[in-house]
Amino acid sequence: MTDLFKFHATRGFNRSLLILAVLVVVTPGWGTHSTRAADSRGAVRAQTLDELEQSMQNLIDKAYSESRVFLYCDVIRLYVRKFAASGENDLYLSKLRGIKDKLLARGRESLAKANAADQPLTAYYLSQTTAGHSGDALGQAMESEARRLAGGDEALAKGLLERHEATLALYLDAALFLSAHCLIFPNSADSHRQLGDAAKCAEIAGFPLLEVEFRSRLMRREHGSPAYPVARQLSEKATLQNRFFIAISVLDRFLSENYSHPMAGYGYLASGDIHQLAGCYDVAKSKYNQALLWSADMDKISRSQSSEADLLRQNVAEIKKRASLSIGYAILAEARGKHLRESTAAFAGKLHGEAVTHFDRLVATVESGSLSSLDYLLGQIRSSAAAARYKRAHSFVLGLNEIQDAYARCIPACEIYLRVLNQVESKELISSASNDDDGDEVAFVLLEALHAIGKAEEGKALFFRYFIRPEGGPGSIWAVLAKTRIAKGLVDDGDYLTAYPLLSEVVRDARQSGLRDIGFTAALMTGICISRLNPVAQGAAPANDLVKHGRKGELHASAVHMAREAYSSALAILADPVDPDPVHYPDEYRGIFLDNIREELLAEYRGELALLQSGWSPLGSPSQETSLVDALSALDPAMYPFNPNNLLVAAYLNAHRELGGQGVLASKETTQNGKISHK
Amino acid sequence: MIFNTAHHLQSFALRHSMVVVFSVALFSFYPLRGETPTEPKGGAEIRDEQRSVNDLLGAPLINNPDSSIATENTSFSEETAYSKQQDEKARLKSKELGATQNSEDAKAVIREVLGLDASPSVKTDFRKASLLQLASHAEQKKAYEEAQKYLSEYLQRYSDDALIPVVLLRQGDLFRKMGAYDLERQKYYDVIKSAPKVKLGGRFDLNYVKRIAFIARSQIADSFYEEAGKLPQHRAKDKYVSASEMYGRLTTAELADKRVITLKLVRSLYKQGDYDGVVSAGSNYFQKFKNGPERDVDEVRYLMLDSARRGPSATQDYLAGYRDWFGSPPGHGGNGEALKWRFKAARDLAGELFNEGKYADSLAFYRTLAGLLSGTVTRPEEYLYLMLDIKRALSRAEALEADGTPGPEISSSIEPMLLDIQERAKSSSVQLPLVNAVSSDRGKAGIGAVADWSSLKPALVKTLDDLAADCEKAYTAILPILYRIALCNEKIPAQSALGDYEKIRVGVMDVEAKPGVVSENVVFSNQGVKLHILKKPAAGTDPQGVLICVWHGIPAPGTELKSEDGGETVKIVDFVGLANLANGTNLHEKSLPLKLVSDMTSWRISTLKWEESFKKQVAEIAN
Repeated sequence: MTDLFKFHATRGFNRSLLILAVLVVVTPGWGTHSTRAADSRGAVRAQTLDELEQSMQNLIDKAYSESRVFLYCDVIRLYVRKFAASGENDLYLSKLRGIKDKLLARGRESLAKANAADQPLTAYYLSQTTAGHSGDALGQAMESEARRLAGGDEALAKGLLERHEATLALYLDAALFLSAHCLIFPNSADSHRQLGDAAKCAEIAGFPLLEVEFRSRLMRREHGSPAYPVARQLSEKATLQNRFFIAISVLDRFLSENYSHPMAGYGYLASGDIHQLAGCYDVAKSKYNQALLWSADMDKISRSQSSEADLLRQNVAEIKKRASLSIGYAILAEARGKHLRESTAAFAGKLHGEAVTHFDRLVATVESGSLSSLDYLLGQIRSSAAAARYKRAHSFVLGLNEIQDAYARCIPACEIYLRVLNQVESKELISSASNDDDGDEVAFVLLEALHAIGKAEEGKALFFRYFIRPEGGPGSIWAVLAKTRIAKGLVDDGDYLTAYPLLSEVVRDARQSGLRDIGFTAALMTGICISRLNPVAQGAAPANDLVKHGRKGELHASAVHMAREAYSSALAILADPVDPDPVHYPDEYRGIFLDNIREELLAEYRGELALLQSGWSPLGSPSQETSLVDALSALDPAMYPFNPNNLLVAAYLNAHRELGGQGVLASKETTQNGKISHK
Repeated sequence: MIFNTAHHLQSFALRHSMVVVFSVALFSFYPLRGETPTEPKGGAEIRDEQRSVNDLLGAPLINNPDSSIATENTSFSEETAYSKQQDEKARLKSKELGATQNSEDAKAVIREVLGLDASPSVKTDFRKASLLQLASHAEQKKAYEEAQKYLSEYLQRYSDDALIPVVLLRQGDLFRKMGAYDLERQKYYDVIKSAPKVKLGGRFDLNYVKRIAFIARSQIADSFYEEAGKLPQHRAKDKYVSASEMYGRLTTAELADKRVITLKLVRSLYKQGDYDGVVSAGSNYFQKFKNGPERDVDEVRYLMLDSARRGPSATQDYLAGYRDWFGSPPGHGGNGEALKWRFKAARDLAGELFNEGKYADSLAFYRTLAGLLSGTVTRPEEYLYLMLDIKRALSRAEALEADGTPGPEISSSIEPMLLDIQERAKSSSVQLPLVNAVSSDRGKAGIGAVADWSSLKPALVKTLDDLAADCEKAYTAILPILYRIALCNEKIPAQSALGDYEKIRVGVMDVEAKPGVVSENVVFSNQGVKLHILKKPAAGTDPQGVLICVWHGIPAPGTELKSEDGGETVKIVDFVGLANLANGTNLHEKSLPLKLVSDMTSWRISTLKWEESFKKQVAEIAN
């Protein structure tokens, strides 16, 4: 219950003081009351009724002394019910009544003051918070609005903001007391009357959970079904707060009595979406199917030629389309959810097949190459790509041919999609952000498919055609992934020089796109590229020699230094406290460079062990710095996308084994006393 | 096309679809002045002549192709001045239709013509042309499905037309663009079936039939080849086999360009992994086509050499074949297309050998690649010399100009310098067209005439910019290869990589120095710049055009540098190098890879020079 009184830290005054104030106000005789005897742990083990009564009285006193107002009220209620003949009841009931009156009076008073206050900014504040703005962005928006209202007068604007803060404080006060009243005395007629005001105050004061709770209680109390906008708004708010049950109940209540409502179709869709979000995929699919049935019924009845009928027909068509697509996406989401667990992975395969069939059927219902086919094609591409990725993830069961066939299946759909999208954009002369993003996704799937079927050159051509844009700048996450894919191919071909700038771009863009893990591995790979391009070999003086000869200044541009810098920047990515929301991307990209990292670690250990075995010489010493080993050793495994310790140990053991095979196995003492002992 | 509800009308999707439907409806339902629907309802398609009788009669008299109503007996048309004028107008408009740029314009013309009182035969011809034109416009905007509809309409309405095979070919082409290869090939088979049915006469003779059938056959082969390119290897192989079989048959066809078909055969054999077949077909190609255009020679050679090393009878000495190839002059004209295959081979081989640790072989192929990239200018540092020479000439001329010297005297004063510049450019195969043009004009003016300074100055300035651009292009391509060459040398014992690294940070400068100070390998430096002399000028007391390697920093005019050993000083007068081209470009900062290369090179030069000096000292002590 105390959670209800958690205040946002952003408010301009000390909320903990306010809570304290509430308790001072609502608790009679605060500070003068002496506690009764209670056992040391506060736990009571009553054997008889008298003992129970005594222990409950003790608990009431204890709750009072600890300012636990909710517990205090609850235990009093329990006591009165249990010991109806007790002489203490009058006292307790009067105390309860006092608390109730004070909560109500204080809440109403604060609300009245808030309503009476000049509120030029409150509505704007509410619109901004509803739009999801918070923190600095909200503060800046409020300041600019205040300046606008003040006509540029800074002093006036400041005054407006101060008054707004004061009003907010009043709403907060009202929300706190009215909410407490409604929660402690839920069946009181006063509470019923205050539910609307309490919800409104909670909304303004920034208590979304309380708001949802009171609005749903209010809806339950009202007779008849709620209006669609009210039901939709409440369900959206509840969904945002992960209160899926409330969200679903609200919509169900609306739908149960409004089947013929023109917006009922949207209700079914929303209900399906919430079920899907909550992981109830079967129910979600049934809701979408209900939306389809509803659409079919509406088709039958909306035959008139009025403008309302036109609008309804338009809505019905949209609902039908969305429901059809949503069924496919729900199957896809369910399949994705089953990938991770070994026991359900086989079911995931079936679900992927089901999703592909579903979207194939949808695509067959529309005219090929038409604009209306785009959404269905996108679903078909996504489901086919997901099925192919699933097959690749389970490649130990499936043959390469089957995987390649699955990827090859994506190619025609991707080509048609990009062609039609291009037609649309050239016709409308503009490209919307969502079109761009979907287009990027499809181009990426095409690139992925071409690589998977062994057409890397064609993939590269597509990449340069589609993802290298003259205007430059960061692209979508798909552009980042595409660059990663191409860079991987280049690294595998040993073309480190060409891979290097691509990887640098991935590092730059990945963090902004929410692909932190990929940014990190790409940064490591820039270091590995530099290391691989490092010309130091037999006959060349290693960096350490320069230090020994007092030429440290010339190290600034050495490959070792540059590689170390790259590894440091990789670590900085993980250490960055500003972490954008992670986004979903194909799993295989999480460890795309793992082999290359493993190889580099092995090379570093091999160099170290060889150095230990051969000893140092001023010229001609084969030097291998262990920059990557150092970097990964310094890393907190919890922050790492994959376990660095496993990599390090495996690489060390492999290097050890390799050199051991050549008869140069380093002794235990050597390794312990050498540089590598700590790694 | 599916129309579920009328509300679709408001959506763009429907509007888009309506364009198609409307256009098709234009020919089927458009209520035209003076036109009565004369199409038979359902059943088999009637012939054009039969349709003409119906049109002239204004009623559907003939409804079946086997109708006994004779068409040849009728002569209903009554040519009047008005009908002639209308026909003429329709024909003129038909030409306009061919010139339209998009569907909207074409539809406007179509509406206009179908509204005329032209004769039915003129209108029929116009309808055919309209369908084909609308299909072209739809194809242009990549609305292939829409284009298909127009062509299908054509096939349906004019099934006995002589152009049917062409329409089918176009449909096949559209299907390929749509990625529907099976349907594409089906259309080509339809062409082969329909071509013999074409009524011969006029333009459409036996040659037309043979040509169209050959095109269809070759398209089928190409279709297999192209489809295979989009399939995984295990599924592509069958398609490549089909393609090669068809190409094999086509090589003997009368109408085939045997050279091209053989090349395609070699390609499809290579793609299916039949390396022995490639070697055999390739040898056959070289035997048959010894003379003639050489545009494909390098490609066939590449495929043969690559097959020879991949095939079951591959030998270890496959590199010899490549060396012979690179030793031979490039294909016809040495253009980019011919060099493309040499680039590919050299790049792939060099990289492959480097990754395999065969550095000596890799080095040879990297050097070949560098040579190919350099083109005719085999010593790219000549660009730097020329830029510095031109800057020097301009600087001198501008000084004279500032003193108020007349133009002819300025030109005369710098003429020896210009001659040197032209001579250097000629010997290094660098083109200076503008400077040469001014000189040529002067030559035409007679003996003793001097170049016009007003035209010479802009020519020099422009030449400087052009040289900077050419130099930038050449070095951008070569620098990564030079770095690879240096890496190979580092890996080969007893080879020095210093010379290759020096080429990556090269420059030329004019300095003021005492005689004997500027000599090879001397290192000069100050706080911001460090360099060493690669090559001192061949002659003359003035140390001009000194080839240097810049370790770090950018030498700027006026900067004083001290030698590391003797404390002698030089003052830079002018500098042109990769770090500062004549147009101000710093190539070392141009891109991330070039920056990486130049930074690492800088470090390696300093290390290798130190090592060189260390070894020298050790040798001195030992002696």
